[in-house]
Amino acid sequence: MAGSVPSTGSRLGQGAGRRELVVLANQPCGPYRLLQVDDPHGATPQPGQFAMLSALEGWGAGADGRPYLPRALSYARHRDGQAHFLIAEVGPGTKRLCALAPGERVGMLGPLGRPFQRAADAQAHVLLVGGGIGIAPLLALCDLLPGRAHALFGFRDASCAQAAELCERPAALQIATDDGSVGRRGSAVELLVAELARARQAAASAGRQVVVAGCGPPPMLEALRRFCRERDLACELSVEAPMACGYGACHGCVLELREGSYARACIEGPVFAGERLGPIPDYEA
Amino acid sequence: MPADRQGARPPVRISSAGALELCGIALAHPVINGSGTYDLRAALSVFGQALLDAMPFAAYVSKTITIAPRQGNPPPRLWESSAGLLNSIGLPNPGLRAYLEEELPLLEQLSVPLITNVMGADVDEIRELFEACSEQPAIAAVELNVSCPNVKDGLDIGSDPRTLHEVLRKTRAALSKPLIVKLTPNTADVAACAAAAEQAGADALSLINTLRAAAMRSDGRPWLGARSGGLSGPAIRPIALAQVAAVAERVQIPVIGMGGIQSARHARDFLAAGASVVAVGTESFRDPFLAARIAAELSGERALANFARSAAIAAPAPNRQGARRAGCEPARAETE
Ligand SMILES: Cc1cc2nc3c(=O)[nH]c(=O)nc-3n(C[C@H](O)[C@H](O)[C@H](O)COP(=O)(O)OP(=O)(O)OC[C@H]3O[C@@H](n4cnc5c(N)ncnc54)[C@H](O)[C@@H]3O)c2cc1C
Ligand SMILES: Cc1cc2nc3c(=O)[nH]c(=O)nc-3n(C[C@H](O)[C@H](O)[C@H](O)COP(=O)(O)O)c2cc1C
Ligand code: FES
Repeated sequence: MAGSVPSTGSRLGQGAGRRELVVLANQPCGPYRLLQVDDPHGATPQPGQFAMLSALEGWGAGADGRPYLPRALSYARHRDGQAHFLIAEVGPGTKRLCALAPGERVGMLGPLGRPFQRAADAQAHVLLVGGGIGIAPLLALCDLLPGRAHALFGFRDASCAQAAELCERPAALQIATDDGSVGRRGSAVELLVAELARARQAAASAGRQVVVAGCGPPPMLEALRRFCRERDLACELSVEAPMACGYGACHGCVLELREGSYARACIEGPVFAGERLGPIPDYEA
Repeated sequence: MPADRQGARPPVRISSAGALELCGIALAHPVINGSGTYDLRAALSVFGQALLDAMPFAAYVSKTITIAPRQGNPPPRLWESSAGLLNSIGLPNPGLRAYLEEELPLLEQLSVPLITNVMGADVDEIRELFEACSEQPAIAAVELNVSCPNVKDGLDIGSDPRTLHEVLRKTRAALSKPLIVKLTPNTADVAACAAAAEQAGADALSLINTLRAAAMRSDGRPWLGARSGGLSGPAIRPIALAQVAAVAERVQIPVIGMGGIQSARHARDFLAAGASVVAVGTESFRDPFLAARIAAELSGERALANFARSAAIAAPAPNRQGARRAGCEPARAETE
């Protein structure tokens, strides 16, 4: 496409740029918050896409002079012109977003990024493999595939596992917790290990192919990536990277691909075909 | 330079019909982008026609182009600090040839003038970049990023006035277009560097680039993949203002001011400090169309403080070719 200016309309719906929107609700969901924002004119996101969000008031006033930049959040649901986000408080940005009260306003840019594609295919037998807050984009995918997706969710404990209740109309839902307080003791990847043979059989008899859609903390995602590679399983993973802009402008969010080049998580991802990815980086480790 | 020169610049009103020029390039308003902060191809893929219809910048400055392609630095490349952003992007770019063949045809179609930002590690590289850009009608001006380690001693070419002067003196003739030198703020005396660049044939100066900075992980190791990076955003604005004022005080050529601009008020501060044009960088990450709103607000006011400076320089008034200048007639025309 070198040499031609893409002349498609904006993918973001009316108003193209950052929109100022009103918070409708913000409810606890275990240790997480479910934030609902009124977005009547925004484009409908596809599962796996995200938005850059900031509070219009009290953004930048936190300890440390942060947050400054907006924060990336996956759409967990989009319904009746409302965008839903499931948020875990991990630092100053998510702390402010978790504290938003109904009626407060947010700045929002989105939907952004590449959505799940293989998993959205009609021929896919979809396994949603999510860890903790990583279930957020998988909820949106489950909404797209009512009665068709098998959810395999892992959480730290029973409190976090309450978020699984947000998963509507899965074909099946299995839960694991690190402490064994709900469901099986272990991780979502262990649920997949146990479930795979049955899933392959069911898929084969329906003339379908198993596709894994995964999101979660880096160590879990890396375990999932390797497992899928070893078993030759089609998989799509939603990967996090520190972001500044979310629309490809800054080149800050790169991930190293398996063949050694860098890809921007915000425009080439956040959802990547598993086989394109190198080891999932864990900057905390 | 008389100490009271700044005060001697009379405020000038520019009518909406009045043309603003930077080095002979007509600008619709005084807001452009900071190099490397607005990947246009990516932004077009996200915003589509809306971006072309509401192009936020009066001129588009490319990211830094080098002769050889660069992949950029290993991640992580970003760290948020107090009201600022550290980056160690590492100037990823496709290299000169691919830029000219693959990106230029896209940039050519923009409705605003194109400024190509380039960087070379020595005189030969810079000359090659200048010659290649001279041949391209689509390029209105070249901005030279001098925050580049010099092959000789590893110091940034732009951090020492004598080195900068020597490099520019040996390369300036290779460029047939206006030359903007993007000064580095990581130097002992930015005004001395500015004066050296002016003397060696720069037509305009831009500043500030990012300030060298680092951040640590909780275990004490550097966070950024490249260990250190550059700080931008609101945190650097007061420093940028001081450097812009010091440079504007020292040189006759126009100054493009940037560093943490978030609003029309901030833009006015830079214009008041002596900038003719301002650039928005990091703030576009928060709001991709912010620059357009700043420009609209400034244009609405009509009285743009920067034109004061230009007018003072372009005096005696109904000046050369009768155009209203934003102080941007190439200085070379006078000094050479
Ligand atoms: C595409 C995408 C989708 C996402 N979806 C969701 C979602 O649906 N729900 C959700 O809760 N989260 C989601 N996230 C993660 C979310 O964006 C981050 O948790 C958030 O940005 C953290 O901001 P903070 O200020 O709360 O925490 P920060 O203090 O910024 O810390 C978050 C992490 O960033 C690193 N860090 C620490 N300090 C800094 C610093 N100063 N600068 C840069 N990095 C630092 C550390 O690794 C830390 O654990 C998503 C991220 C991406 C990229
Ligand atoms: C992510 C990022 C990438 C940048 N890339 C370049 C570059 O390629 N060339 C350059 O001359 N300056 C580059 N800069 C510097 C900016 O153009 C600008 O000088 C600086 O960020 C200060 O302005 P700001 O605070 O408004 O961002 C970059 C800055 C950032 C934040
Ligand atoms: S976050 Fe800026 S390029 Fe991806």
